[in-house]
Amino acid sequence: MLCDECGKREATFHYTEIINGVTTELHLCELCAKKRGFTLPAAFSLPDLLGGLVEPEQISPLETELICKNCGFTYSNFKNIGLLGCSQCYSSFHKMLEPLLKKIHGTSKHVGKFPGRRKKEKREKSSDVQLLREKLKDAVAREEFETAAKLRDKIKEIEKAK
Amino acid sequence: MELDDLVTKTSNWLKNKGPKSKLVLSSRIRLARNLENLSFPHWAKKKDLLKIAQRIRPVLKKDSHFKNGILVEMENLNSLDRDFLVERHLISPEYERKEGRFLIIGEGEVISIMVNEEDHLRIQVLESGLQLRDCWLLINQLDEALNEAIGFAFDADWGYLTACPTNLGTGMRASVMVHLPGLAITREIHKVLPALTKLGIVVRGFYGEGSEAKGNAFQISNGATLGKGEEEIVAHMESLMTQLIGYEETARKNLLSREKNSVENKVWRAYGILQNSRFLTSQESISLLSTLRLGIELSIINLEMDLINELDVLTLPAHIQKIIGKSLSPQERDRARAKLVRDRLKRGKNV
Repeated sequence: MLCDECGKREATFHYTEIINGVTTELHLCELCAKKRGFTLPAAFSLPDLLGGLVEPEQISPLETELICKNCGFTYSNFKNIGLLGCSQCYSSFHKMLEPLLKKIHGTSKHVGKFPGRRKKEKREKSSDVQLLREKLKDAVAREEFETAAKLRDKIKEIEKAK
Repeated sequence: MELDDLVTKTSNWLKNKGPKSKLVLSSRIRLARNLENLSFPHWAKKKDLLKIAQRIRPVLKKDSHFKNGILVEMENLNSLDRDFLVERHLISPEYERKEGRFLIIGEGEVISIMVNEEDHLRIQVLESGLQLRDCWLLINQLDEALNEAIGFAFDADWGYLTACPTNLGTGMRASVMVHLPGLAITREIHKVLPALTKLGIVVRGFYGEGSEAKGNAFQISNGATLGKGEEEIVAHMESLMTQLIGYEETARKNLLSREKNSVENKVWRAYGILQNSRFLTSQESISLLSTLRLGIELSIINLEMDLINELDVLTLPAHIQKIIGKSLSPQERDRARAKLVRDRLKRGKNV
């Protein structure tokens, strides 16, 4: 088989990517594969895809000018590459990121572990009825009824205690 | 230890030891972690990257997990060694060979950390078989110790803060590599994989292979990192895998009862080709080794599984070149690969 790119040399680099059922195939010679800059390829870029998730109409021109005071990264930088500049960017662009996180993860609340000394915060947080209600709603939406029932009981328990 | 010492060593994840290791090749968990307020690697200036690396390096060097470990400065790495580490699952292909980036590998290649890849730290635990829970216990303990020394960026609402918002929250990706030839040959795979996708699971072919996922190895990992706890993700993945293994076992049983002769034929032909080839492409060897693996698991052929595990990795392009000790053209590689396979099978641990 000849190289897809130059059509001259033998293709020795065969790449097929199936991500969730979508297949992309590429057959290149070593030279063209190198030219394309990959030893093992990334056919599409996640950041690009992410940038696409940010709906342009949601952002007024003023907001695209938003800049992180800590690192100088702008919101339009983020739209272009799908990566943030530093941990502070999350508070600098909080308002815009919240809906995006819901699109990516289906929620915008961390329920995993808290690091080291902050573990106490987590315990306080987990008794937060508001949060439990949100989780309950999610569980029902996902048809995870067993989890939903447990959450419902927990909410009842906390409310009784109050 | 030095990098070249790894060539002849077998990584722990290839040792075929873990539970369900007949079908589950390996389990991996990685955590994305960052330092507070410092620019993420893609945005950091060179001097900041060096500063970050300087802050992390002594902490990792001191950590007991890396006592007999290897530290690789990425800027000193040639491209063959880079490819070698990618094949070894120790770095991502995107990891740049520039200043301020280093990789540290613990004994047996179980624990490894990439510093200044997409995030300041990418911590990985890789084990053989289905051992996500053990991977989690180990990585969690390491993560807590490192947090104590370094202090990771964290927000009570959004969890661990990562360069890419797709990793936000737990910053955790738990993945399992499974060998599913039964489902692939019976074509049941086309029903199973989309169903997994609907459950928020991401599926990829292994070694970048074809629509048939050459080698029939699939990487299965959790999708979302926010809104689910780490233990929950691990438990969810493990129960899904147990189910998936059940499907694969049924598919194999069906295959044996319906097409025993044809499967036997396939296995022995694969063995024949591997024993006699003078040229063997990487794709071909992955596919034939997968057939041989199935043959061993179905007791059609009596070979040591360790041999297949070893060959799976040793026949990859960068490994071949590291063994020969120089860079080779694709044709030279195919010849060297064929010879390596012939020799190993002959020396064979076939009982």
